[in-house]
Amino acid sequence: MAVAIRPARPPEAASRAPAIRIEAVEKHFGDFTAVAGVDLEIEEGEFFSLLGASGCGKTTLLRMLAGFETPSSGRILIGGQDMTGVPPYERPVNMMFQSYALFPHMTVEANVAFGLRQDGVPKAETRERVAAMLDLVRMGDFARRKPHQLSGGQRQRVALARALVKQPRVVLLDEPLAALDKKLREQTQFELVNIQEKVGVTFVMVTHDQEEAMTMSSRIAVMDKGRIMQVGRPHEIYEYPTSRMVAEFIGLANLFEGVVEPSGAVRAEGVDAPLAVLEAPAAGTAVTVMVRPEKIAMHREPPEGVPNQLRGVVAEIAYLGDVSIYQVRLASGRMVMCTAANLRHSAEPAVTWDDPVVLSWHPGNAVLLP
Amino acid sequence: MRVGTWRRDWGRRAVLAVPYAWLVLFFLLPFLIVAKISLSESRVGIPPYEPVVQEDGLHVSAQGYELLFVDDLYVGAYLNSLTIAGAATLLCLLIGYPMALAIARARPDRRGPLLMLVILPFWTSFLIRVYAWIGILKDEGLLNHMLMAVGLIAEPLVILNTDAAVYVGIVYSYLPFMVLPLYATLEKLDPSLLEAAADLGARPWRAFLSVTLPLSVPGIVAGSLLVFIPAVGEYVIPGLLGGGDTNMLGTALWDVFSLTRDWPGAAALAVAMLAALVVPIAVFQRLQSRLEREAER
Repeated sequence: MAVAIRPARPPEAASRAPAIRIEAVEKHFGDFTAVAGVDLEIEEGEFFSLLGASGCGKTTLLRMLAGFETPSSGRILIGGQDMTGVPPYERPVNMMFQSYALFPHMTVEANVAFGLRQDGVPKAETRERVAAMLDLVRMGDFARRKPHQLSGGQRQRVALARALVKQPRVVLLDEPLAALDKKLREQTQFELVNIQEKVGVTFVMVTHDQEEAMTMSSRIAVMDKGRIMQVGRPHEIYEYPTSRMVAEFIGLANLFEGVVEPSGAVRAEGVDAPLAVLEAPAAGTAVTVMVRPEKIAMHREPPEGVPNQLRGVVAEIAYLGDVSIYQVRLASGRMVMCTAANLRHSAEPAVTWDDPVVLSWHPGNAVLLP
Repeated sequence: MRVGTWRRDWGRRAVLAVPYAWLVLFFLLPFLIVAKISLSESRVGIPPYEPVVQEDGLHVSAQGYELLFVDDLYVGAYLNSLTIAGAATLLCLLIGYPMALAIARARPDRRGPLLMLVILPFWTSFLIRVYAWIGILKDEGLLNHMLMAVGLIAEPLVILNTDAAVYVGIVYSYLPFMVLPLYATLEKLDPSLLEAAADLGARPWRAFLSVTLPLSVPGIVAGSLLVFIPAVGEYVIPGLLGGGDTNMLGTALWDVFSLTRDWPGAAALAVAMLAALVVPIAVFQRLQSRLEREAER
């Protein structure tokens, strides 16, 4: 999992109108429902991510915020103002496109100045603001270049400058890092977050990359089939998913399907011992116990006084350098995933293939899903 | 140079050599012959000119070219041809641009049929289509009958055998050559560029002027050249639809060649016509590169 590079900032006092308020918005294309009833509030100054697989409706939702698509029903308020019937060119938002959509016949400078020119900002002020914005994204030396003379990362920064220069209420980012290679992407994540904190504008980002969303956002909305499955801070989404879909989409998850026993433990398929859980619902309820692989400890000998002990044999090891992912086969044939940090400097793994091991976790580390 | 590179280059050269050989054989050589005739002296006989190269030396004469300037008919034809072709090109652009834009913005499954409709007239002979316009434009023709039936006019309009008819003919005939290159550039235009313009506050008309129009300049230039060049030398349309006072280079050339039988004069006119075409092309290209430089600023 990615390291959290920013403190999870709680949304500011909700006394003011939220930057964005989405009320029961739906969008249909013919028979296809792209967005199916979304309610959402995004506070001023947030770095908000819409996260989901392709086709989940996140891009359609973003395009409705920009005004490129009209909701089939429901309404969108930006800064407390109803955006129904307001064309894109009159909305207080600016978008950074996935393709960047830089004007190929204009210089970097002219691209960034374009929005200010439309508003009739005086020339001297335009020059000043463009220069300041290009300095912010470290593109000051490239002002006279054309987009085709820039690298992917440089184009991305120009697109960001162009979206920021008009000081919009909200900046919309459509997969802003998707076109960059991995190394540059990680570096750019930091930069984007730093710039956002510096200018203090509300960012709404669409991404399919959960790691990107976790690293950069103050809050995330996980979307699936046009609906919002869960909204929360990155650690809430990861540690306390409320549905199987979210648990499986974000990070790795072991899911044990079972039924609550009268004792309050869960009898799960393929697991010999009942699984101890905190606050189990009424006996007979079908539940899914979700345990993240890193919450599971792996022992050579059965530890004492620890609940939830599962015996198995190591079937697969994926060595990632800092951690290894172990696939442990239980007697029933069921696989359980468990990650362990490679703490010791050693040529040989401490646990290797076919080793018998015991897995355990504290009941508080499991999440009960419906 | 490495062998591999050479082999690749050899293939490329061979592919390029075919059209160049074609141009040399069927354009450059005939043109040189015409240029040679233009420098000869006319006489009565077969062929109706003195050979330039003879046993006793070169017989060069500027007689043919003198004629072009002595008689202001030819300067007039030159200017008239440029005016008519230029105006017709502008009309084609004004009519063709919205057409091309509409086709490029139509639903993808409708673009094919719409393009087909643009090309459809080519299925009929050019000559027949121009003749058909006579039937439409003449005093007792379709257009006048219709206008009179509707009550818009009381007397038939005289359109046939005027410059107006020539404009109608040229615009009608060459419109596809304007629409097709324009469509090709407009269709390639990334729609997200227009969204970006709108997002940054540009109303549709401003977005068109600052994004669509400058990015379609290559199509405008290509289409304009494709219409302008053949229109300058157009012979059939002014011949059939134009009147006695419609004086264009193509018709003048035919008159000098076949009626006056002044081959050196006709050849000189042909060479002058080529020059008349090269100049506007050069101007166009300079204009285009200046537009590009301005866009960079």
